[in-house]
Amino acid sequence: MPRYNAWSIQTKIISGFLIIIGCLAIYTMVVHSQIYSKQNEVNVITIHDREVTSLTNQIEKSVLDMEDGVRGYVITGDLLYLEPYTRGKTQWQEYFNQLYEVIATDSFGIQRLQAVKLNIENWIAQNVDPIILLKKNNDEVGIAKSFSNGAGIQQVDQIRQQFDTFRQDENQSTDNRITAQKKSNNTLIAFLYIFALVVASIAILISIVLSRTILNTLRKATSTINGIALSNDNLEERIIVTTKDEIGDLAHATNLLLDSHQHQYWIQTQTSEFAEMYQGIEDTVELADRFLTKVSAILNGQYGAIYLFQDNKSILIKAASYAGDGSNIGKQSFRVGDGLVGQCAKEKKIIHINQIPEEYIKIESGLGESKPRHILLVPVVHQGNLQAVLEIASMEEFTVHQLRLLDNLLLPFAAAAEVVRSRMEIDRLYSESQILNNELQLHAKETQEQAEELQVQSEELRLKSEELQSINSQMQEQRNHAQAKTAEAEEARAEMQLYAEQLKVSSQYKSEFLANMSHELRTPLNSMLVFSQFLKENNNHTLTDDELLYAGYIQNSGNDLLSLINDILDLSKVESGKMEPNIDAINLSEMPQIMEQHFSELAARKGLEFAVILHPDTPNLMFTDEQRLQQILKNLISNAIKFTTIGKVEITIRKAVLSAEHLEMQIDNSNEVISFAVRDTGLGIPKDKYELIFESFQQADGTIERNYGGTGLGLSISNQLTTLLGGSLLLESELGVGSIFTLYLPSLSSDFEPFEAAPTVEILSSPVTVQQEIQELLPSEGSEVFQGKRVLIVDDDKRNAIALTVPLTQRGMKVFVADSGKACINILEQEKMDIVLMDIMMPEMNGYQVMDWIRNTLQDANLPIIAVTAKAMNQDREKSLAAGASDYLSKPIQMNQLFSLMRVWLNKS
Amino acid sequence: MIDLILETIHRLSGFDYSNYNRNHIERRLNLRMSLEGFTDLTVLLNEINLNPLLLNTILNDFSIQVTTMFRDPLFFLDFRRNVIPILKLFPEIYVWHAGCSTGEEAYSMAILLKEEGLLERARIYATDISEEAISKARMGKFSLYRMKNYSKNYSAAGGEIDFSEYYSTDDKYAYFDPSITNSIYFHQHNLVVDGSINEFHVILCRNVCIYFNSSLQKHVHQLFHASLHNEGFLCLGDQESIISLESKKYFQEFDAKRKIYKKNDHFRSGS
Repeated sequence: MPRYNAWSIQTKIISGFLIIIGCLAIYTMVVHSQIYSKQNEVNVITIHDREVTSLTNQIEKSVLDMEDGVRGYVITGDLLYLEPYTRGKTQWQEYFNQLYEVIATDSFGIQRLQAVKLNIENWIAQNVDPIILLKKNNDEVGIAKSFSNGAGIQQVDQIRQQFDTFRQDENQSTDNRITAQKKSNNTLIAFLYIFALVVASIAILISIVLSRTILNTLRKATSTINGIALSNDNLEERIIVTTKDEIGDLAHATNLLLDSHQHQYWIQTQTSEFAEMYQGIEDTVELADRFLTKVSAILNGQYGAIYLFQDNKSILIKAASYAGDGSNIGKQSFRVGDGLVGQCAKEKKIIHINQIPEEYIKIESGLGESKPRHILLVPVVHQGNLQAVLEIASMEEFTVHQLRLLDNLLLPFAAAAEVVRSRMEIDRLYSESQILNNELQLHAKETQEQAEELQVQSEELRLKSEELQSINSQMQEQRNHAQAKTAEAEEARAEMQLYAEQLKVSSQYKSEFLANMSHELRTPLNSMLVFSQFLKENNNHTLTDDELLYAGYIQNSGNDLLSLINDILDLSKVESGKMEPNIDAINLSEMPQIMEQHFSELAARKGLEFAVILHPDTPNLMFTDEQRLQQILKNLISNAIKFTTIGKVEITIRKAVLSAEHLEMQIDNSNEVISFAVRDTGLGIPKDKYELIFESFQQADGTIERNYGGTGLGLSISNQLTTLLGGSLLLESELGVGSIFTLYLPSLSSDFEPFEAAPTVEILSSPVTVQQEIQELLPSEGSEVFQGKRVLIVDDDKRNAIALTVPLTQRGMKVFVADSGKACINILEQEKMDIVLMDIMMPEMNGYQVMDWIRNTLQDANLPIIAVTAKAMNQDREKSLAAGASDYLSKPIQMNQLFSLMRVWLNKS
Repeated sequence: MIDLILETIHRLSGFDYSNYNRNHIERRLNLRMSLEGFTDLTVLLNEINLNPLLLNTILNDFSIQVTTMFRDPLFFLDFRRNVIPILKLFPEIYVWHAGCSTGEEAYSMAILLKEEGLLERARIYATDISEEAISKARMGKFSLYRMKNYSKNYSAAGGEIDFSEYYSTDDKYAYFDPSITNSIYFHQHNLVVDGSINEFHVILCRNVCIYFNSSLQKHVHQLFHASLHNEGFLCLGDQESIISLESKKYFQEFDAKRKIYKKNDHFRSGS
């Protein structure tokens, strides 16, 4: 096949046709020769037949001539008649010989002919010649005799007969030959048909083989071309050439076309990649650097540099270098005309050097260094203006494609460089204009502010000057009045002082009076008690049972009166400031024992359980007035036992869970606070009576006194004493379930100053009631800024909210409390607030989310929100401000700081 | 005409505004004229001669008294991060705030130094051309409404605690804590004519020079160079920079973004 493949299609087709033509020639020759031989055979048969017939007839004639001649001679004796005889006699021999030759191949014929010849010779010898002789001799008798026996005629007839037979035989053999001829003709026809078939087959075979070899290569080429055409990016594929024919040439040509197309495509993609790369670059140096890096890679350059042309200085400054660190490789700048770079810039022509100067830079790699072999210097020109010069050094020669690509890249690069350059210029101008613009805006803003301020100032000035005038005119008048007023004021002041002193004195008088009265009352009462005791003892047994009973009543009433007087005394002492606590160390571990000693019996009598629990975390010692503490506790416990009919009374002593600050105590945080909780299962106190029961002579129900006895002063005194000791008394109660009175007392140092008694009770209840009650309780004070302002405190810890409520209410603000983010949203949806204090750390919805809601959903951008954050949490602050807080405050809240901030944010100007 | 007015002002008040940015001066005068209802500069000139109050008003017009606490918070933040650590190396720190206006930025600097524990060894001199502004600044009290956004600036400037801890209020004004107000010395000082007052480690002159023309700017930069400790810092406003080549010799960039410069002590002014 390979040898066959080496043939061209022409050769293949010609050779194919030649083979077919050759076959046809052979066929024609065979047919021709066959026809010729057949012709010969037919000729042989017909000529042979004619000759045999003619010759036999000639011989017969000759015999007859001889017979006639002899007869004529015999009859006439004339010798002239002997002429035909002699001619016949010579001729038949000749004819015979000819006949022999004709039938030389027929042995049977020859045999017969010899028999005929013999007969003729016999005839001549026996009957002709003797007769002639006889005639010559004139022997007539002999002649007659010879004729009479008839021997000569018989012999001639026999010869004739023999010839007839001979001819018949010859005809017979001719017929046979014709039959054989026919048979061989049929064979020949069959042979010719077969031969024609063979030639036709060969021709078809050749045409098939030929067409197949041509078509195969064509198809291969077509399918490859199709493949390349269909798959766009597969430019690598080539037609595989197996043949050397015209198809092979076509494939070669196609491959060449593809090669050039691939190069073209490569150039195009590279060009477009470069164009893409240029996008977004805003700096010529960066542009140059990226261009150089990429172009060096494509050109296989080991070193490269780009020199940007500085138009105004006509100098080329290196903007980027490849395979170098920028500062080391290449000169920093060239003047136009200096060196190769300058030359290139000047001529704006590509300089391609293969002979590298000695001092040219060496290409260094990790393993060694060598000099580049080829240098390319290319000017970058845009619209006739030089932009830059590119220099590339390479070890390998630059290919035509690389150079063509480079040629294609230069124009876009030049354009991009021009664009970037102008953009940089625009940027520079823009930023300059922006700075100017900013400055202008600044000026405008300042101008505006200045104008506003000035307007205010001028207004003030105008007012001032008016005022001055009126002041001037009033001056005299005022001076006149002044003295009178001063005198009046002095008088009023003195009067006021007098009143104040009188008030103080009268208050003191009241207390002193009470104290004295109590003392004065106690003396006779004591005697009354002593004597009623005597009576009750009935030592003389003179009293009746009834009288004893009355004595008992007197004593009981007297005891009640005494405790009432004692209470009043205590109360007045506290109020008049006469009571000074006696601070000393007390042993808390002894407290349960003392309490049990006092009350277990009383409780047992009422069928109540009584328990004193000392929590393990309680310190052993605390500093306070033991007597007063016991007084308070006894008050609370006896109340508890008094108002409890079933169940138990339980006292728990422990270190306070709440801090002093939460309890609004006026002490340092450092002081330890001990809580004494007295819990009962008694009547309970309705919420609206919380405040009332702490007031003197009050009980929750007016009828209680009758049922339970008591003066109703106990709680009031306890409360006063608690304040005196710097503590606070809290009440939690549920009607019908029981009450808990919790006494919080700080451990004090011995040099402490007694606290002024003031109502300090706090009630854990709903904010609105708290606010109202406290508002009623406390006189409003402070500046007008806060007056009537509505504050919303958002804090999940109610205690914090309440701790803030009191001081805010004191300054005349309306306080609302929300204990969750949701509650805050509910309130804000209905009520308008002036300011919000927002705790950040809340469960469910935290402060950030609430603030976000206020700013974005409620769309209230102006509501001041003060975020309350954990101390030293900068992030919380930043986050709060970001979430919409106006300001922030760290825990624990310093009230002064809070008020400062609120003034800032409540300020409307 | 403007030259004439400026010369009159110079003669009457002693303040020379001839080297101020001419556009700025023109804008200010035009504003004043429209506020006072004057039709042209001649009337204004006449009024200046007659009315000392107007002269004073115009002098205030010229000095821009727009300032806020921790103005441009990022400057204070970067100052805190980058400059403070260097200042900590000095046994005492002299700070000059030139063109302090009503003193907000001087107070801000004092607060910053206090939080960095440097206030005790720092002395802050704050000066302005306007006596009125200086006396306002000295009082250390600010209208309540101005305080509203200072917390945000303070926080953005890297403030560590509550800004509200530094002041107390009454119904009209906020008063800075005495520990802050007492650390600043306010003086009237004219950058145009007055000379160096000390050697400082930090000179703040923010958004002042933008109102000067380039020759006055150069003069002021020279003054700063002469007043700066060899390791000292010059802080300019975010809108300005040392543009003139000559001024560039005096200083080198320390933080270009925040316009903080270091003294270039290789170059000595005057020599």
